[in-house]
Amino acid sequence: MNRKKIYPLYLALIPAVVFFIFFIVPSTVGYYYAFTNWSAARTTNLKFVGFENIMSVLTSTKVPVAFVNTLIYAGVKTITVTLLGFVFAYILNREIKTRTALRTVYFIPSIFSCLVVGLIFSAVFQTRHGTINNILNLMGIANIQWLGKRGTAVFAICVAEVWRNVGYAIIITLAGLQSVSSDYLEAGKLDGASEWQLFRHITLPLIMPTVNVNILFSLIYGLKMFDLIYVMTGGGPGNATESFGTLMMNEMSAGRYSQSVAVNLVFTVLLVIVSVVYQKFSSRWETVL
Amino acid sequence: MNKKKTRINLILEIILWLVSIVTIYPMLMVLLTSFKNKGEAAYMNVSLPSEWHPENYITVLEKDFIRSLGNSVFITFISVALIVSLSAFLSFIIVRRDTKGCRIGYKIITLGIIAPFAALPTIQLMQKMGIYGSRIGLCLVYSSLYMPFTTMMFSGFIKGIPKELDEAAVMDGAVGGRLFCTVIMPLLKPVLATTGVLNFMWVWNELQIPMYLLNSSSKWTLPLSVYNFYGQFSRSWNLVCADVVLVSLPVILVYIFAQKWVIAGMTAGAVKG
Repeated sequence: MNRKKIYPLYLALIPAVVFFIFFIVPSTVGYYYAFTNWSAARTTNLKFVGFENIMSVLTSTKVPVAFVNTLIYAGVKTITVTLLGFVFAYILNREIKTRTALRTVYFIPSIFSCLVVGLIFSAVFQTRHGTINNILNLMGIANIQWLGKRGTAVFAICVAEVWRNVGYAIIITLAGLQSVSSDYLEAGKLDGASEWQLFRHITLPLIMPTVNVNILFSLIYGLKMFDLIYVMTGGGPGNATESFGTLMMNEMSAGRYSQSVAVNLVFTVLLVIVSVVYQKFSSRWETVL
Repeated sequence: MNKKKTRINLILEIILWLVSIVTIYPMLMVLLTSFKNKGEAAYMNVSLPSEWHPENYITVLEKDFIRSLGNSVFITFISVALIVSLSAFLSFIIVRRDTKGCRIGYKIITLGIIAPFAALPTIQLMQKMGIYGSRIGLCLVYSSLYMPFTTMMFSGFIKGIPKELDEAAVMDGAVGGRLFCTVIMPLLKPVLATTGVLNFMWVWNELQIPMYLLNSSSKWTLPLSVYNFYGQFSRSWNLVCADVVLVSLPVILVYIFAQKWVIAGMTAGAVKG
């Protein structure tokens, strides 16, 4: 019997239609609104204004700030989380008695909502009686307004982000390490390789594919970050800690609808570029897709 | 040599437990703060409350908590059911038909992992369809947003099921839906469990999408309920913490009972061969 009869297309019809209507349509023709004068004050009789909105958001200070912040959030998170995940996973892969308990303790933050993590770290970095300032006070250092300045606020958000994601990186890297067959390592040992040589020439190349996928996902979700910033600073003070995600929300709340869509469009283009560039570096992504 | 190794491991173990304070401290702080009075709760530290105030939880529960819980349960249940079942059918057809069109379709769907949520266009579309602000509309949007990742997981798994099984069933006259239900579906149980649990945690924890798509607070999901106590000017940290504990409880329970599936799901995408 023919393949097309055994696997009829109509079975995939409903999922395809849902995906088409609620994802493809808004993500393609929906961006038409970026080229109109849509706003809270004008919701009917929209006029086509060409690239006016795109140009205005690109040349205002907001998008460049959000662009830099987004890269910082995603970059710091990806690098820190990957390195820490690597170190912890490597240690947890040794013969440690309480390793199941340790693994769980480190993983737990990953299951919380970003909202919850954001709230916890708002408290930790609070100016009056916040955990960090309490510790600093003990050492004789005056209160720091962590969330009140761009540099420290971005730092605080990164800390919260890393706190939530390290466990996830540990679990994935650990699974990668455990999939390395001990036969290879035994063989290496017989040839007199040191622990560093075993790691460098056997373990590392074997788990690189895992690490690559991990990095890509970490980058994509880092670039899309919204919740933590929204809860901790709301993008403020001013627009200092804004990412693309919060900028979209804040532009919408301010009634500048078409600008919000323009930001959204710029953001989509950025994400696609990052993914394509990363794909070039990692052939592994191909096989996952 | 071996003795030295054991000693190193012990030292590393102690270091790991010391570092884990960074993880445990904030969680413990939230738990203890949830039992304090408002004044004490402003101090963010780990200390026992001078007086225990379990009634903080009553206050939180009385503040529309049950309604938000109902919304969350409804939205999460419908969304996860939709995401998992739609992705399963889609992957089955895409992987098994394996025509050029199917492969292109698969590429387009995986683009959904990369592309960000087109917030305002989605709102506009839903307004035109007359489902903006409704819970069921939110479920449909979730289905399309989480379908890419789930489809990727299902496809990877279905590729590993030998085609000979299908052929045997086809001989017995089972094609299409019947083939899927009798042969493929029973084999998919592990992925159904993993994707179910993972999507549950994602949808339950989601903040951004409901903020865009639910226009009235009567439809708010549970995580949003914390904004009842977390205002711009007045923050009752004791109530915020009690709310946080209650909101996180379901995810923690699911994690405890379905740990195996959570871990399997998170690693399946990354570690394959």
